[in-house]
Amino acid sequence: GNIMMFGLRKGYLNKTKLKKRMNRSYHTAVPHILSSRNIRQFIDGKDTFMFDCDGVLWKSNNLIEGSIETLNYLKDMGKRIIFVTNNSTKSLTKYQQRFLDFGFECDREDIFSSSYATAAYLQSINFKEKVFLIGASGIEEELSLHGIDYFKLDKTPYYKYSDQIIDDIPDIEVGAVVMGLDINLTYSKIATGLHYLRNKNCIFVVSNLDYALPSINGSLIPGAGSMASMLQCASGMDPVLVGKPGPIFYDIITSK
Amino acid sequence: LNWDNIGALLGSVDTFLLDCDGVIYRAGQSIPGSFETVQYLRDLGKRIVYLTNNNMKTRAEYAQKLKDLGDDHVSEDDVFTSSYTIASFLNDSGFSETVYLIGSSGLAKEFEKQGIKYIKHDGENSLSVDGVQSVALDDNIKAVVMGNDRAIDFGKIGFATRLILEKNCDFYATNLDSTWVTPTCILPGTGSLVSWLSTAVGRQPIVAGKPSNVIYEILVSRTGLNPQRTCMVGDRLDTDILFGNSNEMKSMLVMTGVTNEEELQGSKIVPQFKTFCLGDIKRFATNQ
Repeated sequence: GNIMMFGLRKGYLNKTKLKKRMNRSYHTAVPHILSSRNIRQFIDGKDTFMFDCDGVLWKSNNLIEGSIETLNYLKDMGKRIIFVTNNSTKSLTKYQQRFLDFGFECDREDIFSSSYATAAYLQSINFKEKVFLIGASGIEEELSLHGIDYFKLDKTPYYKYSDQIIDDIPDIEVGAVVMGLDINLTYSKIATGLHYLRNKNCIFVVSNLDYALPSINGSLIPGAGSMASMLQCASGMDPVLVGKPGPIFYDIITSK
Repeated sequence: LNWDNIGALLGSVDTFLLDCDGVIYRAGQSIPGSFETVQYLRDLGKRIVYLTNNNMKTRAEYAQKLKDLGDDHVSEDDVFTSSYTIASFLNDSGFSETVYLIGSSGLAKEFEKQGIKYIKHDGENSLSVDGVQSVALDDNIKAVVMGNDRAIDFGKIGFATRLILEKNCDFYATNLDSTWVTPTCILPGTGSLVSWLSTAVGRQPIVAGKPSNVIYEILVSRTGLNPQRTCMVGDRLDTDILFGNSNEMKSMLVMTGVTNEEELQGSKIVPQFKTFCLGDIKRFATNQ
């Protein structure tokens, strides 16, 4: 059936970059404005509605007015509702609970977070080694659920001399360095990731590359993409991107 | 470089700009022959300037470090660190407000020495994720300056992000070296840390150190050097050599630091001269 994506692109604030991208755009169509005149045709023509979450359904912990009503309305009309979020910090279970708390019932199978997609991606490439994770509990839970072995650095002390950091890096064979949003990011974690990436057989995977996120007061704060860029810069490696707008997320959703 | 062309080189150069880590010293010890060349060039009447992207020491502290390593005659005026450079640049441009500083205590000290007001978060006053979003932004802060900070955290980068995006603060970095290479390991450099902020705000900083022309202007104004009679000696292609080549200076790559043969062959940045170590200059010149 036809799929309509609702999303809010974050982090693309640089006007010069935006202009460049628009000039290079492969389609010259402009968005259609929804109104009561075309809404019937719009809804009837679609079987499935995919929703981004942050900035579309809610802003931080505040529901955007009318969101849940629209979701329930479409559901009652028999439409398939799928959620696709680049947020890597929460697991599917937490998301499902969140929807319920807000007043919308859905199945875990209808929710796709980049945390889930990251674990699903590793499973799809038959990844059997150990992951060094720089990220939040959302990715941790999904990695565990998919049977992927991982470890993190939780408390990293401040080292007076940089060489001491290397001495403390666990001497483990690491097959992948995986990064998501980590609000407790430290120099040591990046140094450790860099160390493992120096092994040619170690891959570099990121849940999403959103450079900035809307903050509670309406401005922007650093996102997972800005964090991953540190490791990109230091290692000279471009990571495998799991989240939107990459193709992996789409493949995972459609195959499921 | 060899004994054949050394004479012409020395005849055409009055000032030698020397990178430090990988040229003068490595892993806390002077590289054999380096200070001998320094003294030899000074005896020939050449001006020796130490030019480092290090941003964690003040100019005075770095001069002392060089003294301790083996240069008995070095003075502060011969030393240009990227910490000194960024503070000097702000003063030269008439900056009189407050800076939000992300970096080491050495960088903060250099700002104090040069009389620039700054705010820095560390330890007890570091911001939480909620704090970053709810804190009121000080109107007096007109610039964000970032150097190497091993205590980097979300609070500092988040606060700087808001200052740049909401208050339109100017954005400076001491240098953008992506890695810090030691004989035993490779660690993230200042440039990697800066990318956390630059990608979040969608903007590149004005860079103080090599290969930027900010340090070039400061050097010219402080030393009166003539670029065409100046030679930059360094171990890193994308900072030292690029700096020399972009500013009409001669450039010389040494192999005692970061760059290996493979990198040199594959690089678009081509040094004018190449030699194994700084000590070769005296060796070739005195035919040893």
